[in-house]
Amino acid sequence: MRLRMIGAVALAAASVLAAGCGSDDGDGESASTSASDEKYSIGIVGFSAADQTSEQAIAGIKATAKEKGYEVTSVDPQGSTDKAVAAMQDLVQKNVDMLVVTVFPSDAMTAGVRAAKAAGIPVVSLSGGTADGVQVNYDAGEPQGKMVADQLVKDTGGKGKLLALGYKSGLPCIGREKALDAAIGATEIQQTRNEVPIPGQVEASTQFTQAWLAKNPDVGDGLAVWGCFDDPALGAIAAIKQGNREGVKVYGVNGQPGAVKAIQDGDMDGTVYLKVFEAGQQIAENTGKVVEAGVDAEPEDVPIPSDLITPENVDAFVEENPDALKGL
Amino acid sequence: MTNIPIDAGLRTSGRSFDAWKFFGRYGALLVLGLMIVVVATLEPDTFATRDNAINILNQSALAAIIAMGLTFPLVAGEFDLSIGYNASLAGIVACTLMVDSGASIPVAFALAILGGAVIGLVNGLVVTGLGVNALVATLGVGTVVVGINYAIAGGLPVSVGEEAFIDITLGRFLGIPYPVYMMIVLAAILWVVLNRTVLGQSMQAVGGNPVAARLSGIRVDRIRVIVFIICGMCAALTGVLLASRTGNASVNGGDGYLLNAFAAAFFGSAVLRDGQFHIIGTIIGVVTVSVGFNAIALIGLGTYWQYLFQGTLLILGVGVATVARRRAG
Repeated sequence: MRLRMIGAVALAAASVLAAGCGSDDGDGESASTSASDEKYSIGIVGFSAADQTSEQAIAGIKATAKEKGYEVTSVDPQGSTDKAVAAMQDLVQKNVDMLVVTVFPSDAMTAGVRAAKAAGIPVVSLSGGTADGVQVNYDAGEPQGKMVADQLVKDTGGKGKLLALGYKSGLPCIGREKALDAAIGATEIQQTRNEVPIPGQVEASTQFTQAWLAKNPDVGDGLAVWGCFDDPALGAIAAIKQGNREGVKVYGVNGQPGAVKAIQDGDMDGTVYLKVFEAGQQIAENTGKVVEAGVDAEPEDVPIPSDLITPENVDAFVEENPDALKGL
Repeated sequence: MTNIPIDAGLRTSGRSFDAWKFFGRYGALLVLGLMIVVVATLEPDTFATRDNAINILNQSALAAIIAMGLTFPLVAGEFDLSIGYNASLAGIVACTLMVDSGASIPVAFALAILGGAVIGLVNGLVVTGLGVNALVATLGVGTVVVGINYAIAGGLPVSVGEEAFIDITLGRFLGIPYPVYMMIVLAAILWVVLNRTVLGQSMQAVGGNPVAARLSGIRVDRIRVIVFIICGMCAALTGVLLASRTGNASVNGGDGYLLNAFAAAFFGSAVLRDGQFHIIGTIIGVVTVSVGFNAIALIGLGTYWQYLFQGTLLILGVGVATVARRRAG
């Protein structure tokens, strides 16, 4: 570690000299202590440092890994598929024992997954799905989508108009939308769908909702907005407030702090809180099992532990999970 | 020169001039060398290996291809903000052609790159024909490209399971991945075009002084259109190769190349030459960024170091070279 620190300082010096980089492991990305018998190294390919959900999962992995004395190296590919593949290849070079890839669809990581498989390194995906070379997937799509879709149908009585704000480039969103379509398929709900861009998801959702509300001026309580994650739902709330509209129900998924607060404030009607920190802890906890099963293990989907939050249970939920509002 | 008496002050100035000039031209290379030495010391078992060197070059290849293409408009004094969207569209077009229309790989490649050339042509015509500033024109065209992209794919990723397509980027010859060869061959071709042909000299003349170039008989508008076409084709090639590398084309897969390509080209302008964009410099810029990214992953530095590194690299790389040139005279 000391050598790394010295080297890191030298690297920082290179940066100051004439355009270099820098330095230490700052937030403890490489944590190595001694605790249990087997010491593993875990390589994590994040999604984007700005993505709260995947960052919470990574924090969960690091927390448990630290307790167990595992070494963790995480890389932020800044939302870029190419950089994510490069990060996987780098971590293969580092010869980690297990790779964790967050959010990116596993079938879009071909070069990285193949490099890992060739090196005998098992890959765990957080919401990216299983694939050849990706042995375990922590699913945050259809199961969570079903929870909120069922609630939406229950609240609306299966009637009225629905604005769905989806994102087809993201696997979890595809699964959630599939669950929504299944839930409203047998109802009288009339759906309008818009594709949300990322980045710019909140602003675009506000604009889509404004236009949709303008087209439906007098429907009153018969309107609902569904976002495949919480950001579009929060964008919709902004439009509803700007338009002074009341009675429009809003739903999202992920349970990010802004959404939980919106439910507390009466602006939102449901979200699914993904216990991604817990999922991250499980991933680290199961490292030995995954490494032992190897790269030819049977693919397995594990639902991320989740809770449905509604206006009825939000206060009790926050009391039990004070971290759910962290960051506000 | 030796017969001309000069005073001590000028002697000092002369020495200083040489030092600044040297630093301005080679400082960025020194940084790259220093980074390699430092990281090799820190991670001797993983960084300083043949496999990792190939890994870095492989990771640099696609970014280098798009950045080399971008170098052409920059040489001619133009900008192209549509390259990332162009790359995304090319991947979608190629994969959709293969999956939905059963097109062969060469046909899908050719049509996707032709599409990139058309986007470049439109960029060039909007800039030269309508007189729209390149920043605005390419931003507008790029936004239209995003719309076309969604119209084709509906926002959904297009997966290609065909091994032959994936092997284009995963295959190796003599242990070196094909994209590395593609980067080297393309770099050689583009270098020759830019430095050893009348067309390339004309591009540089247009970038240096368009009025003087026009008065010299160079068809400035035609040159401008051509640089956009070359840039568009390189962006499209990158997009198709990215789809091959990931086995999948997504509607925004190539978008991230925009800023990285600009960063590499500007950093490269500070390498070996006095602030001029050139092919070798651009490649060095891309490789420097890749070495940094690789080092951060291997050492296990925090996420924020990536941003600090990239920003610092660009600002100091270009800034120091600029100061050095100014001090040099």
